[in-house]
Amino acid sequence: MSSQHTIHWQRYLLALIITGGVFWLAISISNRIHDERVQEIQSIENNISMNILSLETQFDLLAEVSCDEIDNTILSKELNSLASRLDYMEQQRGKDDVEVERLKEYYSLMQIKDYLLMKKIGKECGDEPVSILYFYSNEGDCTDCEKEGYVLTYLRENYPGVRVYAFDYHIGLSAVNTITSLYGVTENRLPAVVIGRKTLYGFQSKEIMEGLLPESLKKPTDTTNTTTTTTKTTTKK
Amino acid sequence: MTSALLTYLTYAVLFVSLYVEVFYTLSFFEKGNLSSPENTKKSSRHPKPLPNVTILVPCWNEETTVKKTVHSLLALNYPKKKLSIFLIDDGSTDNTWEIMQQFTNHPQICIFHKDNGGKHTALNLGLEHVTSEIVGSLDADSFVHPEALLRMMETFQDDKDVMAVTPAMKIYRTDSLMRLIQHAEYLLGVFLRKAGANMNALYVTPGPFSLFRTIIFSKIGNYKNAHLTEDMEFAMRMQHNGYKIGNRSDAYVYTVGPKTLRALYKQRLRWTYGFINNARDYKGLFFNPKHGDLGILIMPTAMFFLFAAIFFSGVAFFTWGKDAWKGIEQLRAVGFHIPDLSLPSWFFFNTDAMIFITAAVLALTLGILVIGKKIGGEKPHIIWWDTLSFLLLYGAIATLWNIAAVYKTIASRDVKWR
Repeated sequence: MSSQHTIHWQRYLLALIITGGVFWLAISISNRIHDERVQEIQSIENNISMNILSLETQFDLLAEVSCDEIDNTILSKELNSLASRLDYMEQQRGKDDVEVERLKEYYSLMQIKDYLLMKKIGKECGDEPVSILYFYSNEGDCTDCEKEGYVLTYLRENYPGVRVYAFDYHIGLSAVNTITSLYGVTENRLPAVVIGRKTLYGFQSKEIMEGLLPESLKKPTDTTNTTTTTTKTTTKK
Repeated sequence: MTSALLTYLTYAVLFVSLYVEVFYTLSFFEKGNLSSPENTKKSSRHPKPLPNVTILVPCWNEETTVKKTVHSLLALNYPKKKLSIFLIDDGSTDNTWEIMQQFTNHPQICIFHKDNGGKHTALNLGLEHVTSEIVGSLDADSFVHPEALLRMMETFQDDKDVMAVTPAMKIYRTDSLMRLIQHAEYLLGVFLRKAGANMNALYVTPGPFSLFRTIIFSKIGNYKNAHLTEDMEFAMRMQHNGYKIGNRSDAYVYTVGPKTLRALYKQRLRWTYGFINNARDYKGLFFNPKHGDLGILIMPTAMFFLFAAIFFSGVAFFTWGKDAWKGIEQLRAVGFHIPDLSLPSWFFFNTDAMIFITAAVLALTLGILVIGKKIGGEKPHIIWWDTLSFLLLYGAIATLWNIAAVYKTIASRDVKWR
């Protein structure tokens, strides 16, 4: 009996076109959504930038206005919101994504700006917020960074008066390099946390960190009333 | 680096999976197969003249089902004088032989007894006594639809080149989770077998009610042990020799599926082990244009999917394991605390391209299941417990026997029937 087998070449081609089409569509939709995310982040960054400018302006006018009129809470919320979004983007696209890297650099600069401004306002108005600087690495060389991230997220969620500024040690931004050398943070001692005048290296537990907070802050508020948008954090890597 | 490699591999596996699914779908629709079955009506036309048929029923410890199997054969809508049933006891240790003896005087039935030697020896004993033009087999845990035989005869009559016709297999009873999963799986099989037949790319002639032109056995020989999957080996041998295997998607055969995970595991381990080893014995079927779509696509991707299933399960377990570890780390770092329950914005939904592609693969699988249900004579509910259970669990449990079958092949260990 002769062989009954046939190769349906046209079907192979058609299947290839359909499969390729589905892949193209999926990648296009995904990229489109990614672009919208980037736009959303850029919009938040613009808001923050505007708020920083506004605060700076208010600060410059301190002689004219009262300290009570300076509202820095909005900025804090926006920074938290941006942090969680950037963290998610980094998880999705990877740490080497050029767009994510650029947004992260901008975010780092805004954090430094906010940190310095808060310090200035604090000195002038006598109400310096509790700031925590956190240095991490996501190059796979910091085993405790992720755990420390959970602790700082917890503090951020439960103590709205605490401002957590997280910096990727390897971001390669001169301003971040300056701040790391200012506090003597080195690569082989990550994670590092700066609170008040203390620089702590290695994993700091929730209990240790809470112990370092001023007494006035040690009344955890109802987290549902805070407007921090998510439980995620940029501090963990 | 590892993560990137894993991502590319996953995309590659997804591409092949979707490609093959699309190819099967195109092959299914090639001959406009989406007509409603007529399972409740009698076969629309009777092939004439109807040939003599012998059905071999090999039995080994089938005391609970053999009687029902025989009665379903006796109830077939086929001229009684032209249908013979051979009951062959392969050295059962239970009451199978005693039950078979109840049919001693039945004009259509012959009973045989032999020492246990494996299913293929029982079938070969039956073949020695067959004189009919068509011969088939029916496992003693399966039951046929009254119109199945006539419908399959039509396929023989429609195409003189067809040397074997396979039925549409369904699960007899869905009274356990495992049987529910198999119910959907078999309906998927109804679709795939039809599409496979359109390509002449079937590589299994299932024990439950596959029919053959008897002459095929004199051309290519009788059944072999074939790693305890004689039905797979025989189909591969037919394909190897260029003989055509057809399918009749409204010739329903109901088989009693394994009820427990343990029983299902044993059955599937035997099947998967049989596939790997028979494919090894017939490696000439792979990447061989002489065997058409079977050689170029179906055999290679059947083997590919076995390893792809292991790969996907590995990725899933790795991902879930990583997430679970993160959860434990978080618990250890900050203890149990109620997370922020405010609804996340759309921003945090995973919209990776892989999600959309996986959704496309699942959607097509769902579509195939719906068609499988339709041609399988069932109400084509899109979401039903069998479908859900199948989509959610089958991949995970199939990994168990896939890994075991690969291991047993590498370690040269045999599998057992039960």
